[in-house]
Amino acid sequence: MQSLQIKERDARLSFDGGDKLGALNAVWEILKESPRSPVASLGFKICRETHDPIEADRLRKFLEEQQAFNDQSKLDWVMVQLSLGFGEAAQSEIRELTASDKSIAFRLHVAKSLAARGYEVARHASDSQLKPNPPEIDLELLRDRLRTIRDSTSTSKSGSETALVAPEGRLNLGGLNLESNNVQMLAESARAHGVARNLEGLRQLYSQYRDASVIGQRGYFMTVVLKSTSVIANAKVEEEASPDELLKCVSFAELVFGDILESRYRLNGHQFAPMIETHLSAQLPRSAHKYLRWAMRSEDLSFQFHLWPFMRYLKRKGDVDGLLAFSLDCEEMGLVPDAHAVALICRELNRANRASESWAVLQKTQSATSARDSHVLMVALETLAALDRGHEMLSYLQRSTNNFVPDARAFGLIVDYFFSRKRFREALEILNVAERAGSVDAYLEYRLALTQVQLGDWNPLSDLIPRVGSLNVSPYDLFDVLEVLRTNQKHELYEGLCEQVKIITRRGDQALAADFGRTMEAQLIKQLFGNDTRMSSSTLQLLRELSPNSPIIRIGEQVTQSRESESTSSESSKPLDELLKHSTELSDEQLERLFVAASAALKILPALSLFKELIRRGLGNSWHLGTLLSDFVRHLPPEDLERIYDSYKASITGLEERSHRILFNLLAKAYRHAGRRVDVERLIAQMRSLGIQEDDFTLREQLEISSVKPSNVGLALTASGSLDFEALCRVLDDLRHEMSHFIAQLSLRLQAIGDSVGESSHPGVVVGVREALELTRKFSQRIEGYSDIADPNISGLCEVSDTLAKVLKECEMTAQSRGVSLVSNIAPQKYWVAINEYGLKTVVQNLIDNALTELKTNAPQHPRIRVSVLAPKQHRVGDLVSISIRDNGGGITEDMEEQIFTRGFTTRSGHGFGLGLALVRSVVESADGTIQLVRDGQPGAHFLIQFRLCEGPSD
Amino acid sequence: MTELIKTVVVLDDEAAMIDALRIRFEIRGWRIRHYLDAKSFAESEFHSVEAAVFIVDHDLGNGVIGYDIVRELRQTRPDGLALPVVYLTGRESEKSYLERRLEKPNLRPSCFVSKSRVAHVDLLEICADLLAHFQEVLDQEQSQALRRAAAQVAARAPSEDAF
Repeated sequence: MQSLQIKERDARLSFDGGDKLGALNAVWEILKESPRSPVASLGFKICRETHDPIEADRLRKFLEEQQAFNDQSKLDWVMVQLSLGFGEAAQSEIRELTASDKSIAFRLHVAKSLAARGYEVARHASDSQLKPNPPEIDLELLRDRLRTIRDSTSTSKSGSETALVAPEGRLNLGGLNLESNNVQMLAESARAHGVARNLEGLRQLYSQYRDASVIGQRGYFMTVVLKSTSVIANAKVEEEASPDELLKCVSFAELVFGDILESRYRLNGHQFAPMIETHLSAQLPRSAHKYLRWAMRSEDLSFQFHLWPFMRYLKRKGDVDGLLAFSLDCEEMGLVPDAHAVALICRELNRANRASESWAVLQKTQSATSARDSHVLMVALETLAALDRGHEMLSYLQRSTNNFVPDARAFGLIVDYFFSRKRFREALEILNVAERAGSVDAYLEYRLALTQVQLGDWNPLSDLIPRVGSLNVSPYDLFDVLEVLRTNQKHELYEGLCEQVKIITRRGDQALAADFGRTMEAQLIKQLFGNDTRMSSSTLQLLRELSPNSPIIRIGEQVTQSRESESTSSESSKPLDELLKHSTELSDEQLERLFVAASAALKILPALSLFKELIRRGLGNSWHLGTLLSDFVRHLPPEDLERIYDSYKASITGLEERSHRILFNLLAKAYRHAGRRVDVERLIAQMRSLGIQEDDFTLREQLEISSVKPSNVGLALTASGSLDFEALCRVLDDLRHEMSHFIAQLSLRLQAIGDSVGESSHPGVVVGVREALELTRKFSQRIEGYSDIADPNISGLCEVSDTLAKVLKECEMTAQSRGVSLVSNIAPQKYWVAINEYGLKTVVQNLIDNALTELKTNAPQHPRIRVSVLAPKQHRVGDLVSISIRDNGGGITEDMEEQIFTRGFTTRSGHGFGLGLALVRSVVESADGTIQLVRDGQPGAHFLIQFRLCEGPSD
Repeated sequence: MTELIKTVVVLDDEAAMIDALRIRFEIRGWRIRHYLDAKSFAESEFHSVEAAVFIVDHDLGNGVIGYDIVRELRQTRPDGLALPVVYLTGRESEKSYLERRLEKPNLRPSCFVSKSRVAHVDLLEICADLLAHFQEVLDQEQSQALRRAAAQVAARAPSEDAF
């Protein structure tokens, strides 16, 4: 009996430690000895978690045969069915379990399990992104169960009438005579609402409860409602629900929490944790923190309850600093996080490559937390490994485990550390220590054998392989062994291991067989490429059993046949040709594997043809081509590099244009691999040779490659043959950003001088400062104009006549200097339009600038620009006011008319970006105005801009 | 009545910019604390309780964004939501700032100044106004808290009938 208990404990420990397969084997051993052992529940649980209905069914049949399929086992079986999506099949068992001949206590146990498992089912579905297991199924079952219980207890009339609101409406429980049970029923119903993500239902249930006056254990029910609310809030986050819905959850939780406070129920972590969780779900970390601090200040609390949601939140956010700060907070308040919390903080720090801080946290909390806790111990070892302090790992392990035998997993970590660094002798020493300590599990035995292999001794592995099938090990560890045997050409051992794999997969589940199938496919491909006939026939044999439908089998068989028929021939390319012939029949995944194998085997031509197939299927990308060529390009001199590039370019000619881009990227990468400075000019030449000069994508690539050096940007822009407006805006925005720093500094210093110098004592300085500030303002306006090209900000009002007068005054001097007469015809009336002064000035100034340039190029005898405002007949809001700008230069030809407002179009050869008129139209249209080029038979260009009149400012 | 020393806290990754601000504010008798990086800013300012105006650059280099720092500041400090914050940036236009503000209403910015517009506005006056408003808010909160406490005390006091 004693030994059975120890075995049960060991099975549970294996399960907790993540070794589910080991735990299941242990369960089977126990059940064979004692079929009525409660460990059967663990067996079903393992099946549920490993999604293995076949194993669960085997377990059920075994228990039935042994007449040990009791009510608890039936319930466990139901749980498996529900978890794995066989809700319908479980109906009859649920009816049976909740039938009236069962005790109320058992029926409540069933109810509770259903609600709780319903939650797990829903969570699992969303975690693994499977088809969501509709909570309605579980709810349906719950309703069913509630009805059954109601019917069976309706004879008991004493006690108060209590209403229970179930999801479909009200269910009268007809007076269960157990107050505590009533509360439990309500609580189960609340949980079910949580599973169903039904906040409204939960609200109704709660309000119904609040109306009911007699009920026991109020705090318990309210706490369950709080928890269900947090479950709903969490689910809403996963559903990406609107913030409003989350806020509803928060306000409901606040209401319930307030009720709990009012009822003077003693608060503990059970109330604080859901409050914190709900607030965090609603993205209200500040409020959550408030509850956390409240909880921390409270006495009589189990600390971890409220600690966990907050830590999980910080972990989800990836906020390692937050976690660290939080642990310091705890320390300040005299609280020490438990071992799990310490492990979580340190593990996150390790992940963020901050192992030294992680070590500091471990040291600080060592005295308070139980260093013997396996979580902390493992994290400490991980930290030491990350700090590259491998030799301290063993002494730490010995120090921390004075009173008990260290866990084999801990030894495994240390061994892995040395093994991965190819320090096999040290790994062997650790393995010997583990052996002496009696802590060698199957994994360590593997490691021991593989370490010996690395040290040249194949005997331990030879001894191990025939026993593999009977060892309690994870079959996934065998993948490494297969690879080691293949690369070392150990045919006999390989064949032996294949036999063992058959044994293991026969007793395992389908998923395991499928995983092994995929691994063996990869092995077979590699062996076919390596012309390894003997190994490939063993692999083929195994693969036939594991994945009989795999197309790789047929290919392998054909390759083997063709080899046999041409056994005298030494042509090694034949099998490859055979392989490639069938490449179109392969799945995407298999094709990719084949391609990687070909690349790894440096079979470049086959790999290239596989690459073509990948491209044809829309799968080929630069990663594939990079895989193909990476080993080649790395150490080659530039000349060879370019030659290779040219040869592959030629090979892929004829494929879609995308591959050109891939090649282009590849060349850039190749340059980098070879440690060469990227030569933008050369890349541009290559790009041109591929016929993709006007490709924005490539241009952007170049801009990235050139590290945005102004000269390179200019080169890239010019060479592209077309102006990428986006790229130009980016450059201008950068320029504006840089300049604005100087302007700000200059302005602040000028203002400071103005402040410190009195006007009376230094009047000249004050005036000078004012003028300098004015110049700075003008300069800043000009700089802002750069960003307004992409994003003009013109909202506001301005008066047309005044603004035009200002613009004309500013342009007058330039016009005079060029001998151009600037004529204006502006009415004195006030015309308010919906564009700010800056916007209107931009429009008019640009048009006048254009006219001035044109008149300089094609100067008539009397160059002239006329600006006039054409007043509306009536001065009403909504009427059109027109601004006419006309010059008497060469004008705009009809063929150019379509293009002049296009960004990038310019008539000035070698000068200008062609942005002026594009900007003008953008500004005018943003203000709901129009601009047109008028053709009235007169010489020169005539632009007409129209805006609608609007109400002027009231003052 | 003696006027309290006004404080401005500057977070900008450019030392020259900080220097210009320091001269401007110190000449007018303000106290200035300044930080070149978000980390040291967070360490010193997140848990401070002193009333101050915060001038935060938008683009702090290495992908750190002023908005995010301010959001954390507001969430961490007890007076966070009312804190006066001036975003000083050379990168974004006011329009995009407004769009962002609409997207994230809980950002509650106080003021936005584009670096290129510093010549057009008096940053010092803006900060003085913001600080005064902040003090008013704090005073109001304090008086409300006092009123609430007084009401609670009154409710707990035994009524005359009890004697």
